[in-house]
Amino acid sequence: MKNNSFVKMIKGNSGIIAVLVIISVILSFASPVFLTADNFLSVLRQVSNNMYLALGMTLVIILGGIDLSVGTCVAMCGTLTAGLMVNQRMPMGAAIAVGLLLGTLAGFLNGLIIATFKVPAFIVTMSMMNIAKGIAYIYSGGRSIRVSNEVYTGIGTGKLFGVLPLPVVYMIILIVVFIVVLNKTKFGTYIFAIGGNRESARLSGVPIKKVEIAVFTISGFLAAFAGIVLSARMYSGQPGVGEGYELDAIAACVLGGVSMTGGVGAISGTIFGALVIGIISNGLNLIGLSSFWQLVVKGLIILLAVIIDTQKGSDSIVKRIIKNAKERA
Amino acid sequence: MKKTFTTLMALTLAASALAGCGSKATETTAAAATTTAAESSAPADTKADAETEAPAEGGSYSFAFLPNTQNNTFQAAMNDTFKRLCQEKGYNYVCLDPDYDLNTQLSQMADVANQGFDAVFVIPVDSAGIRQGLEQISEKNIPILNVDTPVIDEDLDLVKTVIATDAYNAGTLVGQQMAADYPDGGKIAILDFPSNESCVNRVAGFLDGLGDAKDKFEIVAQQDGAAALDVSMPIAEDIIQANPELDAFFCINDPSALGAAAAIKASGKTGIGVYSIDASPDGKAAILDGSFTAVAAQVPIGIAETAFEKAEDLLAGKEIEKEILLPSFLVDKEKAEATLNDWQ
Repeated sequence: MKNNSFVKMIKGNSGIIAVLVIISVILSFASPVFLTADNFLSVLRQVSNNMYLALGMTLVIILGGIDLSVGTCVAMCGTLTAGLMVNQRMPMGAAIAVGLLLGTLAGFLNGLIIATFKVPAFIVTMSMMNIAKGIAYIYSGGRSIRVSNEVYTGIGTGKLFGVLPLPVVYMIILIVVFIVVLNKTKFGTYIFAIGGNRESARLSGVPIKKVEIAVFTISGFLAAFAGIVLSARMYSGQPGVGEGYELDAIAACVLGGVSMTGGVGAISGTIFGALVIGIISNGLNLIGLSSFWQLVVKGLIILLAVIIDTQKGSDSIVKRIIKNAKERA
Repeated sequence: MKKTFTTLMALTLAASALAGCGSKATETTAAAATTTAAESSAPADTKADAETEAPAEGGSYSFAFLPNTQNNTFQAAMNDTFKRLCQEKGYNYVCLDPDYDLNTQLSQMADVANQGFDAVFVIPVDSAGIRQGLEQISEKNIPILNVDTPVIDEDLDLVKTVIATDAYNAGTLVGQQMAADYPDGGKIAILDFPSNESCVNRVAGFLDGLGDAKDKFEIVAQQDGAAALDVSMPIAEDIIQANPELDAFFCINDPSALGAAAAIKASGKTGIGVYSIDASPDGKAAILDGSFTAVAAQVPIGIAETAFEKAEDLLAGKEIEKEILLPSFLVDKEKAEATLNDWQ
């Protein structure tokens, strides 16, 4: 049974896995460092931040929504948590709690407004994006807040057993939790049901409003969590970070085959999606490609990966070309 | 097949809509900033009065500061300085924040031209695109003092003076310091920011500052760190991975250098030097805790003070120099300690 679902997972993600393998092979030839254990950990650490956001985003997109506020929520929660400790001299635990609560509240409000007033998620979370950014700037006056508390910075820079970076540990735990939530719980089934067909979900008695609020709340919580870990890694709360992070998270989901129209997707796909994005940046940096060219290459690879992924299955271009060639022969 | 198209369409739509939203969002923020600034300044009619009374007596002037952003301690330090000096003399003072949006800055410049200020301090969002705004202000015979980031050569006739930190000089000081620290040379990486003229000059100064030792240094990587901590950190991590023998980073400002320092700590390596330019409060803390090796100063407070003084000179009918470059200096632990929470 277990084996079966593993095979299914591999099959379902064959397109993105192919992309991942191709990129990795090319990069391992291009840079001798790429395949080292050290670099592998480095990639995982770099991917972790996007992964936290992408996990929440997967739920949101499967539900048929979108959450544009996560990027600036990262900035808001990281900045305020750092600031509450440094400026207000709040104990670390309390500051982290407030930071997490703030992001969770932002997510809850997103969900509440979307579910209650039927305003499109795009609009609601876009407004929240601006509000969160504004709050980060208002609180900090645009200044970064340097944290010297080593216990706090340890949250982002520490290592388990002296090897595994803590952000990677959190990532693994969260991935396991989200796979279970999405596949093994009623809540997960509801998310697919609502995203697949809202009307029939409603008629079957799915508590749409509650599920919507819960999903956006989870996304907000993850953004806050990502903000705190990132600020710990940066030894500072930076109000200016986070812009565009939501797009990276969305890209990871889409690369992983999560359908923008809702109802379709899997955590495993998002994981591969986030890995592809992370490996591209890492690899291009290792090769030393200029950052201007990196933008073009990244864009092309993402585009190509999505095309490959959507073309897989019966009607793929490659298969059609082969078929045509055979017929002609 | 249909599904494919739906997905792609949705993606394209999302992308275009997002792009639109981004700029709209900044406009709203900037608009809000304009209103607050306008509220805090004296109403337009009072200003007009001030103008008629003011001149020769050295009475009350009204000054406007148009920075490229306020979300940076550098510009915030300039704003604080202008505000303090204007308060001391009882002048009216307004600061308008375009939040890095050139379009917003151009409308702010048009507004300022119509409000009859006595002098305007400008940091262009983009030097190449600001001519129209400069013309509108000049047409009203309001003197423009260009601060920090210079306008392009073709537009120099529209500004009374350019006052900035000598970026080339700052780079040279850091380069000389590195050459002294590594007499046998070494492998170095550069985090630059090519879209900013001042940062380009810093790199040029740095390379020249290495002087005769230049050939002993090998630049193993040079990447755009966007002058930002969160962008620079992963790039620096990758550079460290790709170049195990790396000796030092040269970063064009403190945020990118802090990113490099964080990456070095995360890699567990020791002995990689970090050389920076800024000496912001964060940079000074980094010098003190040893995560920076050397940092050359930018002088926003000095720029603001000089600009204020020159504006008064100009209004008093004195001649002022067309270009004033304030020298940089290396900030060692002692200097960092003395002005820890401030710029210079």
